[in-house]
Amino acid sequence: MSAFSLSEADGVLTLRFDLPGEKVNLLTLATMDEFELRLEEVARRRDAKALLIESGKPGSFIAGADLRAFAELADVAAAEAASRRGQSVFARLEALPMATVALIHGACVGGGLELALACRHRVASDDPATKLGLPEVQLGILPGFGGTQRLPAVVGLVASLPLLLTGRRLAARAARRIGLVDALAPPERLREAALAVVAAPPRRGPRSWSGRAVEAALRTLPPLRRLLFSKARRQVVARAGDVYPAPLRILDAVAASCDSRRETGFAVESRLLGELLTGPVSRNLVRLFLLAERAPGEKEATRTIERAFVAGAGQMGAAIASLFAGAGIGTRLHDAAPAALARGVGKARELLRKRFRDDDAAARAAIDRLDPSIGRHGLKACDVALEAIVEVADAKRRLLAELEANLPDHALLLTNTSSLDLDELGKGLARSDRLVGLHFFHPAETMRLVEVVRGRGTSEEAVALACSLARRLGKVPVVVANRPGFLVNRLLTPYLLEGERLVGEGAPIAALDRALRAAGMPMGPIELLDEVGLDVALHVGGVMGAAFPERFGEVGLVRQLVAEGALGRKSGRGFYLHRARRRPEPRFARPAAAAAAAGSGGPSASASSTELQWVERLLLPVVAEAWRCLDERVVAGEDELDLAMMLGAGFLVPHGGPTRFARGRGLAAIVAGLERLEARHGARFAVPDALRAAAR
Amino acid sequence: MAGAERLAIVGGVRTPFQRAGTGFRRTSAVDLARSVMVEAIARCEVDPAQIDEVILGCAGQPFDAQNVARVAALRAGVPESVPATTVHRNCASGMEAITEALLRVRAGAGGLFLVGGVEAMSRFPLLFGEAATEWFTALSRAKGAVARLRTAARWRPRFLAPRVALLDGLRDPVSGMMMGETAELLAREFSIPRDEQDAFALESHRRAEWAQAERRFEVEIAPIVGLDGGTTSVESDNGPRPGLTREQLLKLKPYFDRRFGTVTVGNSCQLTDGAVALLVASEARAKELRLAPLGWLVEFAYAGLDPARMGLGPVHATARLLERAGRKLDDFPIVELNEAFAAQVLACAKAFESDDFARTKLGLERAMGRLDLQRVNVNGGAIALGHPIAATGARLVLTALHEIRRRRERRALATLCVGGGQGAALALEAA
Repeated sequence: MSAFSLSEADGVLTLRFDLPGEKVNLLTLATMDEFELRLEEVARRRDAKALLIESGKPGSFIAGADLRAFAELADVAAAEAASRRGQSVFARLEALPMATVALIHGACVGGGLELALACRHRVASDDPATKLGLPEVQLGILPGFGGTQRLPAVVGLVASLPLLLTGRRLAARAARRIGLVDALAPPERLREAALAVVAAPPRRGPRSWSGRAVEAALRTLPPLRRLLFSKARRQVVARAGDVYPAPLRILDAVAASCDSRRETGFAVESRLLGELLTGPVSRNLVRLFLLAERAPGEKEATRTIERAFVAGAGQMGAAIASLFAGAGIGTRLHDAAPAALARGVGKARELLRKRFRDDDAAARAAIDRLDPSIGRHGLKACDVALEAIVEVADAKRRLLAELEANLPDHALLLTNTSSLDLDELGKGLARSDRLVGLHFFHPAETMRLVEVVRGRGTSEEAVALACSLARRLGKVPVVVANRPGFLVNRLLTPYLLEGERLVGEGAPIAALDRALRAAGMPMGPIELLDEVGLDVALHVGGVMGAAFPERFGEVGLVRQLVAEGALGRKSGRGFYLHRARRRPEPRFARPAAAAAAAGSGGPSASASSTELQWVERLLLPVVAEAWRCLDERVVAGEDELDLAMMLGAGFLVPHGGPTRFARGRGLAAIVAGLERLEARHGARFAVPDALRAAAR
Repeated sequence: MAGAERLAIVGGVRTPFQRAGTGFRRTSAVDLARSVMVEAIARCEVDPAQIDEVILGCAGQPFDAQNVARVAALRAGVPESVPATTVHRNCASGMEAITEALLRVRAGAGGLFLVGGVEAMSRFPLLFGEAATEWFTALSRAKGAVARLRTAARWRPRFLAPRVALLDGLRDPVSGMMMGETAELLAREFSIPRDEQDAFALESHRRAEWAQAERRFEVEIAPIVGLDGGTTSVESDNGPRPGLTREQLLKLKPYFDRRFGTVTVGNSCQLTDGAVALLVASEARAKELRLAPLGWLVEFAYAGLDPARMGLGPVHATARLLERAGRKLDDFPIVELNEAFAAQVLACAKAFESDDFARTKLGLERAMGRLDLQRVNVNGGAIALGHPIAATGARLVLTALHEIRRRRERRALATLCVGGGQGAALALEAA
């Protein structure tokens, strides 16, 4: 069946892309072949006034290249060839004798936007569904069908870099402002808008004269360009080190586009795509993307959930309530204390305004769906109730019982507890089959993971519905067993405790955190402690220590700081002083040791081996704990464990999460490392049987 | 007509009432109304999709929310398919909404209604005067630079003087009198001296203060949390002044008649912002949906009278009501009579027990009876609590029903005077 159909009216050709059997249009190898044939056909029609390219999929243009096919490309040469193939097809499009216009309604991302960029013009619908972007950087690659070459030519260097480096998607108006699209129109009028643009083509590039002046200067003055690129490079390195190679390669490709010989730029793009696509980081990012897609739960299964009750208007409760309201669910946010409720609903409204900043009407509707409630009225009409009050078992137990007494029979009863035993909380409930843990991560509005906790009595239906609800709220669910710390907090514990211990032994905290970031962690252990809150860390540490005393004994530094009132970032002081610029608290800076370690100019051999030891001591026990969790069936398997740790804690994302990292090293090497650490530092590094067995 | 169908008042809530220019000064009528609608629906445990119509009273509708009932209902999550209408009978708009529902029930046009009233008096606009408006219009129509310049040159500084919509709205155009001036007229005709008015006002504040201390309004009030998108909350009425003294009232100068007047801002109702929402139903529908009513609206009456003496509206309307419902004044142990002005309430009291008045003005053989002020506005009235124009009527009903329930009494009368020369009276019964 063909994906393209060509029609003609009044001398204007329209090519319609409608991929059979798929909900959205994807650029597969087969569709690229067919597209090329169609382009050849069109090229022969010299009499045609214009070619319009539109999508036959309601609500979306082209969602990009088929990721699954690209994930299977075996080696650098194959990847590079695939990129060259795409470039050559789009070059044909660009070379067509007549004017070409892309009619964009809905998602136009990745390869889809590259196709649109190869057209002479682009018109888009002014609709919330319309989004344009090149998100390849988020998968560790770069746009390989000419995007790095054509985007700067269309919108200018200055506007193109942030788009390429962050992968963010633009709404239609923003796209028009930077000149990425030439005109906006209602979806039913895109054709007329396209023909108007062909008749009177607007100027390319930034719309403001100052923007145009800057671009002209950049075009004509190579030193200025070099300055721009070196600044951009510095920013990239400062943000993410060189753990993620894609952003720097993107800068290389864009720099090559400024080379007057166009061919070189495209060749550079293909070469770099080959390197990146087959590299380990991109493979891991693609795996993460696919694992998240395959997680359980179906948004559609939550059609019956129309009203929700969220009890507890603290930080988590407020953020969770905003997720519900933002997902179209009428939500009552409740707190016993009016002042806390007012703060919470204010926070929730702010989050909704931010989330829907491109769409005033949607923001207003979402805020209207969120109602603060001092009393517990309205429970009878709710399909789901979630409690997010303080982590005190008695209070939660009482609240859950009261909620249950007023909820209709079909309603789901959820708890956001992070450290309490779900079965204990459910004691005394008549219907513990509908009690499910739904554990969000802070900040709930951005962290994608939700741990769906299955209690002893929880029904499969309830688990499935909770997973679907998580999907509806825009999260990725991982089902975990009701064990202390569930999964993510448990696996973070050795990381944080060992970090604390290293500081106690004299490790300078800035160097320690830097070393772990260089190893692929989003945050070092000490800055993570400060971020989470030392009081929270102390509490969770206490719970974990009680559950697993032989491994998670208290270190003492955090307790000391909490006693001093230093709670981390939220109180302005923790291990770090959180002022305009973050500095280590003098006690933990150890400047003398740091100077000796850094040497003069470059890391000495002893410094880097110290850092290596730090990384070993912090990461290996997490691997060990991971295998214990697998053995105790806390989570279904290694993929689910990695998914949870990467989405919930950003844990070793470039390495694919704890188990992928371990297998990459070789489990035998991991075991050997742990044995060394056990010999030097004690039983907390003991090798679990499950890991030893797996290593054989 | 005795025996006619009655209306179940299932329940409802009101916002705290706030003096104009205070807590709700930035809150739109739509936001006030939608808050109470959401709460009323939640507390009465009703599915909004089953509401047959939304009827809201509003005297000063916001220009940017035409048919404020509809706008508020949509934003309160009432489905699009439920129609809505805004009604206006000045001060009785809140009652008009309720009686409209009863008429629909009696006509077989629906069984469940969301009704009430809202007034955001702080938000009444300032308007450009007529000359200024003409100038703006001419400017926008002028074509070409020359024409525009010529029109611009016609501007005069006096164009800046605004019309205050609130003041204009409180003047009856037919008699040309401010509401307070009608009260002055009654004070003169019924010989109600200043100190009696002040004493009545003081008593209103004392009763309201006491009611607040006894938490009598807790069951009625739904606090507004997170006001205007911020983090402050409004939880209680701020009209009543604790510790108010006669001396403080005496210090106030008469407002409407500077030289010979007796009516001051102290013995008048306060300009106030607030909203009320009630769920009401036919008896059959209430039974069907298993809703236990708070009370019943049994009968109602509206009456027209001389706009210059509008304050006597309750007397005229009650006379009609008693005839329709086949009742005597004594049958109502609890009365809510809106305190537009102390002078007005006291004038009504005299009129109720005047045979002469009954004969000459009401066409009755003798007076309806003595209105015992001990059982009128027992929890304070509009002088203390405020009078958000369209919301008041609904508040009187809500508060009266809660009061007779508390006292285990059978009946209550809710009545008010209406600017423009009308009166409204509702006969309520306990569930």
